[in-house]
Amino acid sequence: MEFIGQTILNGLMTSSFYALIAVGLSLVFGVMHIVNFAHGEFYMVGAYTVWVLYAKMHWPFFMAVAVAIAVVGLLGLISERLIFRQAEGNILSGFIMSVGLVFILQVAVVKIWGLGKMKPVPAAYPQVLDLGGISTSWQRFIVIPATILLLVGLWSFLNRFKIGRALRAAAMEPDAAKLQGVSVKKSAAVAMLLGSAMAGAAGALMAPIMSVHPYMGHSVVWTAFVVVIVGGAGNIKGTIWASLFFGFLTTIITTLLDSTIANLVNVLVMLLILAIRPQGLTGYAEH
Amino acid sequence: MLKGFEAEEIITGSRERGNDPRTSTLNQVKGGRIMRKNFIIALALMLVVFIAAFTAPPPLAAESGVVKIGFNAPLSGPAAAWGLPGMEGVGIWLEDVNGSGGLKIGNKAYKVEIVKYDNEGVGSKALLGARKLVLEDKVVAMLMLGGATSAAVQPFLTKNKIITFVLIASDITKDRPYLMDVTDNFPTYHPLHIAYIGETYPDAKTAAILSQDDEIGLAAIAWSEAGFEAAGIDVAYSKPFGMETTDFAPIVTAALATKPAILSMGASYPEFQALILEQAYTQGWKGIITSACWDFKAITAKVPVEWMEGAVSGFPDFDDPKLSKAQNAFYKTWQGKYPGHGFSEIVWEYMGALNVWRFGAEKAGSVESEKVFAALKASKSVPHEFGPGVWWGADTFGQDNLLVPDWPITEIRSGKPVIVDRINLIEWLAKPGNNDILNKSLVKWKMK
Repeated sequence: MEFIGQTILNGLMTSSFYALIAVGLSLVFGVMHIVNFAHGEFYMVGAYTVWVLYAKMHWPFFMAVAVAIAVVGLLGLISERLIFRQAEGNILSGFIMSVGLVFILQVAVVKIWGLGKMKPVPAAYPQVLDLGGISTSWQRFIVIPATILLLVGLWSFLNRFKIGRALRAAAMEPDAAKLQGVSVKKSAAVAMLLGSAMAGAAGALMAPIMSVHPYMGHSVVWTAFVVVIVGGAGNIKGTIWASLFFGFLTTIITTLLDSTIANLVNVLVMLLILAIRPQGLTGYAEH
Repeated sequence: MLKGFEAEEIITGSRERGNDPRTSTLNQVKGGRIMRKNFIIALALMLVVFIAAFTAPPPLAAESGVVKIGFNAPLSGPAAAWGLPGMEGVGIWLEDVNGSGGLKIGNKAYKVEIVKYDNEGVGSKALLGARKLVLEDKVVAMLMLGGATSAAVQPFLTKNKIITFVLIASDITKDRPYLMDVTDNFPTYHPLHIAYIGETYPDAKTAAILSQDDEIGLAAIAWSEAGFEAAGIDVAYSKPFGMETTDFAPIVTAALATKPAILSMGASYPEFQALILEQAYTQGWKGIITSACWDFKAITAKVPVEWMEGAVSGFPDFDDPKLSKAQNAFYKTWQGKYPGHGFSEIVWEYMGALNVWRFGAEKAGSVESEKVFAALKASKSVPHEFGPGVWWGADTFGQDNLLVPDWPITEIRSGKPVIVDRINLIEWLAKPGNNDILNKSLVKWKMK
């Protein structure tokens, strides 16, 4: 029982992480129709921000996380204005631009902080949380409520605020949205701000749990793409369901077999679902 | 021969002689011939220079009174902690040697220069580094971590007869005659650590081994399994984990489900080690930990120091009173130069290899790679950092290129590794059954 309970807890934690990183990517794709490969590097910048502010400058952990979210959100906004806006919905151009941005951000981080050893981020909450036989650290556990909080916040923004509804309209029918007076450019900027901020939040919260290095975004972005594709590109609800599915699938296969096989199975499942339902589990951008 | 300006004048027709088209055409033809001739001469000269540069025997770096040694190791990436701190020890060694007038080899004094190359622990990059260091920098010896990088560079280094010191004994093979391990002895010390655990903690009867799925990790698993079997300890988990693993929670959950009394880190990369131990700690496990080595600073950033108490390995800090005064002095110098850094065996191991190379060069009276190698192999006893060492390995690795001393066993006590015992590998193998157990495990893990 303990083994099953521990696996469920591990699965929840992995799913939360996947949701945090994939929802931002899905949002950007839904509104801007850009396959943003630099999303992993936004995640990396979030982790570096926490390393600098919390581990090196000894700021309070959550303050460092908040700043990381703001910094990466701003980075996304600048990227949209200077780079992605030029792609104008051209998926190939946007993709190539994002690959360029990957290199720019990686090289910038290497130039500033060097390569060397991975950056150690001590746990802010190393205390053990005992849940009746199953246990984890508070540091890992807080990723779950933090993800729920951020996703609920995003959900409320998209549904209750005018600008959020405009964002959804721009994702669904850009031409109709324009006729209704919605600025597609403004929507794209907001989507990029929110999507990048989510990646920044993921990097910031995971920094004490995973290894922080300039190439940490690489493996993460692949998983995020698998989740987004299966969830239905641009579909946030579908992305959350897919995060749960892949979070548990990865955890179970890694526990029973191996992480390499888990990655392989994830991609196979993605291919299978694409073959059966090209629009993903719950369809493209929500209507 | 026409000078440039005259030729230009002819080619461009006349500047002052009017614009007679016939004269102009004639001059252009003449000029074209002269230019072609000049061009061919220049090309021939360039070709001669090019051929001379690449066919003349490369001058030894040592001829200029400077001897260069390559440091081709991971200075970034997950194995950086097995390369980067080595530069600290090497730097102290260089200051010491060059500061006292250099090495006296034969009748000559040499300044030593270390040329570093960050191979990130990646084979293809290590090969690029080896080619650069040998062909461009003319190094006469190479310091490397080993593992996957050895497989990539050894055909090239063997062809060029470059003596190579690695930290991975299992890299020694029959077709790598110039590769030696003169410091670390990995993975041969795993059974020695386990023999100590078996004797000291007789109630510990189940073990789980966690190590990555690469040459280094698999070698650690193979030797550890042999050690556990010889000590009568059951190995309940020894599945290697993928190199791309980022979250160790599921892997540790699976390992802990087997209820191990001993958790062996095998040769998990330092970055992995900290994350694995953090998981073991937060998932509530308590028991005996053993590992090839520790990056103690990285680990204790994740788990409490007291939780690591009693952990068994084989590398003391050099301030251990059971080590020599010279080693204690080295530790003091290192501490003064690198305040706040964590001490690990990597700090001294590459430097230890330099000491062995120096011993060989002084014996040979030459810095030439082949001569140093021959002098080392001709010595029955060679000074290892842990005491006199003898060459061993032919039966297991195909070459007697591993320098084996009495190996120290350390336990973490009050947050520091201290020497608690010494065990000799050759004596351990001589015990009834141990050699067969080892061979069986090496065959199982395709190491033999």
